[in-house]
Amino acid sequence: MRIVNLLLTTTVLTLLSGFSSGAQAAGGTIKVTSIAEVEVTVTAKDGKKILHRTPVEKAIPGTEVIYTNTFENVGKQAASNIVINNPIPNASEYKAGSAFGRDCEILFSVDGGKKFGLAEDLKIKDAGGMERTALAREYTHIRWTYKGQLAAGKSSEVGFRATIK
Amino acid sequence: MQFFSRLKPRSLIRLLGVSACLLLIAPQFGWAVGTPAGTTISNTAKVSYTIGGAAQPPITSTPALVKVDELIQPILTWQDAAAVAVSTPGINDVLQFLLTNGGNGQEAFGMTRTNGPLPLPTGNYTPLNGSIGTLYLENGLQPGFQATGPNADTAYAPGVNDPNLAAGAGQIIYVISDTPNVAINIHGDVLLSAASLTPGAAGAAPGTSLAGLGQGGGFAVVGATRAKASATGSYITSGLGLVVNKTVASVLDPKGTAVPMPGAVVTYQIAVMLHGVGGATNLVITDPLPANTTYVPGSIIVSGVAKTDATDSDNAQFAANTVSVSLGNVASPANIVITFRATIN
Repeated sequence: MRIVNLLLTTTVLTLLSGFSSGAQAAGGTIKVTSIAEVEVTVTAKDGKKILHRTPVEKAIPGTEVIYTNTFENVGKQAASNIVINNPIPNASEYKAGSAFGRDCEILFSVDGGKKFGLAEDLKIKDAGGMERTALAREYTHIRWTYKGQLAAGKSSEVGFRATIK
Repeated sequence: MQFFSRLKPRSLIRLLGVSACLLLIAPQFGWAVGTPAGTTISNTAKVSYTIGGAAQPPITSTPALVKVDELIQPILTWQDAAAVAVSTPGINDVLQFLLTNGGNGQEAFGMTRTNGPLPLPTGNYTPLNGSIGTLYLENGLQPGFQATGPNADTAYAPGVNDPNLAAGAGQIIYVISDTPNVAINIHGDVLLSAASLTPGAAGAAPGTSLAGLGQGGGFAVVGATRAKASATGSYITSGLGLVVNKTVASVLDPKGTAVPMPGAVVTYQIAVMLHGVGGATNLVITDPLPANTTYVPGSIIVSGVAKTDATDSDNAQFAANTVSVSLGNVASPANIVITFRATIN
């Protein structure tokens, strides 16, 4: 069980480092953490299969990783115009339709984050100059625009799934 | 979750109980080579916002890091288009295999061969290890197997020159076999097996994770084929049969009867029969004259056509007290009858 201990320790350390970086950014009042998880199917005693999320630090190609960004208003005033910009991680492909975020407008980019648009509006020019709708795996960035204000002490989360190439 | 469905619930729970359970979660074990083992995948989010209408400095999250483990996934395929025709008995016939590292990290593999893997199909024969060696590794200098010469391929020695392949790389392996004396038109199989040399990997359950043994220091994860691969190649004993029968067709003695006595002329007949599928190349029949006989000049007849004795453009000659007929390439089936005469001294 050493590895479990190690994982727990590392997770704690990660959380701690998250706190410390939040503290470093004390000028602001938003703290944001990003975590990576995977889903495991666990068969319960009654035979039911349960999807269980668990943090992941190591994985093989083909693994679908769920990234969740939690943003929390740790200040005393409400925050507005919150925009979360998340480049698709290296060696990963965005999974179509997987982006989530309550009360958010979710847009994507296929040009390194210069322009953002709805999935159906994103175009890629092929070698022959013909335009086609971009594929999910061609996305480079995801951007969430939080609608409304995030009151002091409140938090919310956005995220997506990406498969390791 | 492909492999989960193949496990009984009890074994699943047992698997999940092991410490490395986090690494059992891969949704699939693809064949394609993926992101190199040891790569760190980093996800960060950048947040901008305003407080009371004033833009605040953007904040970047701490990165969520995922290290890519090494998937061990050898692939072995038999490369010959069809069963390789061999003579029976025969020696040093070659089957060609390709070992591919389908994983995402450098990996070494040990090779073994099994002659006539069980269950042996009815009627099959069991090939033997080749006289010149059992397995050879293509050295890349010249396509195809070379046993000798400047481009000779490398004899495989387990533990000495095990194929050590980068992700996606391949190694051609030659299986060399002798053929026992068996019937024609039957198959003989050789199973070639490759197994990862990462300790604990070969044969382990898919998803087994070996700490620190992956390329880049991460885990080595056993793929769907249990870090092993195998492929069966096949020989077929050539359907080509060559039968040569020499008989005395007739004897004519000086008295006009058929008594083999001095002065009697014996007509020898050599019947060459080729049967089955295929053809013989450069078929030459040679027959030294029996002792105490003298060749009758100009008596060679091949399939009804008289031949000269000289070594010339026709395909028969008598030289060095030997009758020889060069039949060249002969397609099967074929029946060739050679006759010549000799006088008993």
